Amino acid sequence: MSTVANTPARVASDVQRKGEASLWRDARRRFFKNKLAVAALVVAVALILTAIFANVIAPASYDYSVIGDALQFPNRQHLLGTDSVGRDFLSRLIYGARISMIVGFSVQAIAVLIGVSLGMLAGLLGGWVDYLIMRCVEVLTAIPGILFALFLISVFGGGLRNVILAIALVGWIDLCRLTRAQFLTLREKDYVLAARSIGTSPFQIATRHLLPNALAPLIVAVTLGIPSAIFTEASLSFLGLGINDPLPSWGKMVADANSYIRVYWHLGLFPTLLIATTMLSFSFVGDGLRDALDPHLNK
Amino acid sequence: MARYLLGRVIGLIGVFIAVSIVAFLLMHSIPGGPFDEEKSPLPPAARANILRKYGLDRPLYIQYLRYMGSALHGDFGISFQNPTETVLQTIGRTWPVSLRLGGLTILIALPLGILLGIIAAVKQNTWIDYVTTFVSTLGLTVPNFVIATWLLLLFSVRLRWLPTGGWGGWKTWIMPVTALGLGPMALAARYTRSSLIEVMRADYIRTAHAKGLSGRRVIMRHALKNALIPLITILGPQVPNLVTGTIFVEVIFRVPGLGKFFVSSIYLRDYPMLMATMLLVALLWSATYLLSDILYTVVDPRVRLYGD
Repeated sequence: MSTVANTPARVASDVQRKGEASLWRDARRRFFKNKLAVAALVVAVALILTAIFANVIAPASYDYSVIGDALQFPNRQHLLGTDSVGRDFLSRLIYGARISMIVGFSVQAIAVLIGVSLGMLAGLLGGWVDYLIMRCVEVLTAIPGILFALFLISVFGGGLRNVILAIALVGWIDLCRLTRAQFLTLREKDYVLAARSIGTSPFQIATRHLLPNALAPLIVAVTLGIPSAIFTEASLSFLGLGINDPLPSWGKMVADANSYIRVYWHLGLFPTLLIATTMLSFSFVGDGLRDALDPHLNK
Repeated sequence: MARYLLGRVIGLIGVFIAVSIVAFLLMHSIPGGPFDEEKSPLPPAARANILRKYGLDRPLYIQYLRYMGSALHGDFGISFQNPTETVLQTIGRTWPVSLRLGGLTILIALPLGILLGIIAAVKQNTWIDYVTTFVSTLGLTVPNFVIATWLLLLFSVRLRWLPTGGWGGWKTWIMPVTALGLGPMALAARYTRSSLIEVMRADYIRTAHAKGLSGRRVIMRHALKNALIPLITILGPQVPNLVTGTIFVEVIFRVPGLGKFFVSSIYLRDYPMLMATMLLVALLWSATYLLSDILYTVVDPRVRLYGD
């Protein structure tokens, strides 16, 4: 393969690769000029590291409870106090980051797998495949996503795995639509025609030409999908229909705090602050990426 | 237009039927029902009787057809958790509360959001603009139960100005409406701002300025009219969104509305109630999408629905 120089396909793909490289370099430069996005990225990375090293950072285990220590205000021994069954609140918040990140990232992984492949199929094949996939999308969008997830959980029960599956089952829709729309516009481009004319197989056209060019908006969508999945998990757990005790979920901690909030303010304040910080930082990173990757959009 | 509408309505009905089938199958696919051994220990004969009474002993497709048949006549069965009421009566009792909460929220949040958007657009890149952007980002990205908790902490716990929950009198309305309204308000503000900024660059605005009209007049009479058009498509779907939004706000502030009732239906696996609520929301949701599309063509003659 390497002995053949300068076949048209090779030249074409070289040109494309060069174009891409400068696109990514430009995007990186634009992203790092955006102070808000960079600050958000720092916070997001800190949250991810907290999630990964939760067992190292946390002063205690998330399920170690001493009933005698229940409902303490922040003090020297328990920096953020204890909850209603005497578990160290700081430790639970730290492990809560892990749960949130697990949910956010695995939901997006599943959503990419389903959404991008179905979107590729629909955009590439058209016809009845497209029709079938789009009708499925339409049915799923006839109900608000969170309601659908609630419904699924009421049927199949909560718990980490089911929560992830329930959110992912709705989460792929936007990615599917986006991929399809990208493929529909991109497949009319001249370079696709050129590739087709030299006999490139549809599969190769899809993976080598269409997908790389559709990548930028997909990356933005996935980045913004992470906080939205965390949002949904927190909401489900808040209703008591998500993560089960003793696993710590910020949403559930807020719900538990509701009965003690009159006195024990710390139980309500800290998890809500963390939810807000997470949502804001990931959203700002996503917005920053969008501005960096698509200079034509906005402004 | 008529043909387009007919097509859309038929599509809607198709989606609606699909939703009902999916919901129905899912609910019946699970082991465990409301008349299980551990929940209500009954002699087998009595249980069989109850199952027959609710039609739970028939094949699934018959149950589905029977259900949809009577649903079309407005009979959604009897709620398992409130056996003295029909589902329709339960919804009729609890929905007005949610509607009032949602309605109040729309009435306050949308005009306020549009106003904030106008101010932010006119005073672009000043501190007012930044504060508006910050508040709208908060309203858009943070779940409303988080906002609700902050309001509780500030106004009920710290300042002791407002009651922590319940539903009766304007004092109990302030926090639920604020928590629910921040999101839609943020959305309205953000879109009004960017849309107005874009419109202000149009030629006819320059013409209006050139004619010597005052800045206020140009904005109110010329720019705003066109800037608000895109809001329809964005805010239309917010209306049913308020229905799901109320779930969280109702739970945290103990408002006796449909949302709170929906949550207890999930805990108790109250099939008739769940099914009816799902159908209701699906109907409301698709109808508002259709309505906002139609409204769009009415307001902006440049948009055509049936061309494509």
